[in-house]
Amino acid sequence: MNYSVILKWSEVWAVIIPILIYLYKKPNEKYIKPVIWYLVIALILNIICDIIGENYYNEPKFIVAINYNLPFYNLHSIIRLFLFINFFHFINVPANKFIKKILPIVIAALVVFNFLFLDSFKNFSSKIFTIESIVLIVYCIIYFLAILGADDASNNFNSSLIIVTGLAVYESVCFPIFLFYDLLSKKFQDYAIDIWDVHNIMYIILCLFIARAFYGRIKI
Amino acid sequence: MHLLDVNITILVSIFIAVMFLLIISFLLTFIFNQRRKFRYKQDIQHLHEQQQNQLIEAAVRSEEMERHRISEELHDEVGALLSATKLYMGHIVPDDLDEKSKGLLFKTLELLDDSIIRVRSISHNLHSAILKELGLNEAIRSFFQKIGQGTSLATTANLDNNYETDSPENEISIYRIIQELCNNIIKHGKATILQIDSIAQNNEVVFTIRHNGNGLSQEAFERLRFQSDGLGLKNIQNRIILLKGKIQFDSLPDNHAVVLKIPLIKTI
Repeated sequence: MNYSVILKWSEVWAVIIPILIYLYKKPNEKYIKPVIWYLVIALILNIICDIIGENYYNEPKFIVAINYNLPFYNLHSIIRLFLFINFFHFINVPANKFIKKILPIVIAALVVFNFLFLDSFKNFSSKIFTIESIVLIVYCIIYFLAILGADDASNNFNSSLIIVTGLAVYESVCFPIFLFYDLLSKKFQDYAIDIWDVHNIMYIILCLFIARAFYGRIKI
Repeated sequence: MHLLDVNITILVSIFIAVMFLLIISFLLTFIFNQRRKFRYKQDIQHLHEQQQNQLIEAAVRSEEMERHRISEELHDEVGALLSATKLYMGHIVPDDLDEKSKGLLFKTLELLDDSIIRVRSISHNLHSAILKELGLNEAIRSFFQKIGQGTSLATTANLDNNYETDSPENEISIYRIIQELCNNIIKHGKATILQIDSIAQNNEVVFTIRHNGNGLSQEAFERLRFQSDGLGLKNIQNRIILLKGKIQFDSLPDNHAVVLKIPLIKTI
């Protein structure tokens, strides 16, 4: 098994690591729930995506009809966005109550609008991924600023902070990839494939951060 | 491939690198800031504790000085006056008196003797001379012997001699804590058996006071030391803070214990 295969399947095996840690440590914090739900759904979607990607030239007709695994990537992004917004609400990220309530509705409206008028659900939608990145980066920054502004200080990285850190790294580095992926996949396919490896590495980092969060707090 | 196309791929690569560096710098700044804030909080807390300890120390020292002053005045003034009175009373010849006056004279002399003994005892209790001269263990043994004398209270002191505290002030504080605890056990606990054991281990000396009276639980101690009339318990707690020690009350149906753990600097 060579390096590229390992990296290609990283979206599957990387997700299994935090799931195993979760089963071993069984953390019972409420905010873990949306994260573990995300991991389970991500595992299913990533398995589907990678199996379809693996048999690219021998796919059944209905897979070809839905344009292979691209709709699953869109679905993954939408689910990740909503579940992590839910996670941020669980960890009490300081935001206006009205904004907290209205934001998921606005995002849902944008998603529907995008797939009705701008992009096809069958194609990889850079716009949806970019929205996901921006929203989650903003949430991460608000969370970090809230901790910096708080009176109490700890030399520990608690579980929620570890997850937010992993998410911030993943979303920040992947933001340019998501933003230009439509363009790159059409004009520079080889470069797009190479750059997706960067995404996969960042995804491994995110999963490792989540796994570490499930394991317990870190002293800084 | 157009020059513009090449530029786009380079631009995306640079964009990714910039975002990576940005997030890493942000996280490092965040960690640095949190550490600094944590250290600052720790320093403030340390300073606050230091200030509190200084206040307690000052209160304990002034209390000790006041005890010494009262002790000396009792001994030198009241004691001397009582002794002089006894001397003068001694010059009265009983044979010159009638039977009633003779009885009154003997009773007065008896009360006078009793008063002299009491004054001397109070003066010795307030003063820590024996502690300074013979050390903590001897002072505790002497105190236990004294409180058991002429009463139905059976006292035992099994003390470990293989340790030294780091300062005489600390010895005074330990002695005062034990004194206050024992007085409380006799006064409120109505004990008939009182025993003290000490052992030096793991850089601390552990005193265990056992008795068969009415015991105090840890919860009751925590509650009572915040009440305005619980001055003795407050003093105990202040001295414990000063010694950086621990006090634990174990209350059982027919046997109670107070465990005092005091850190030691040197063990022989």
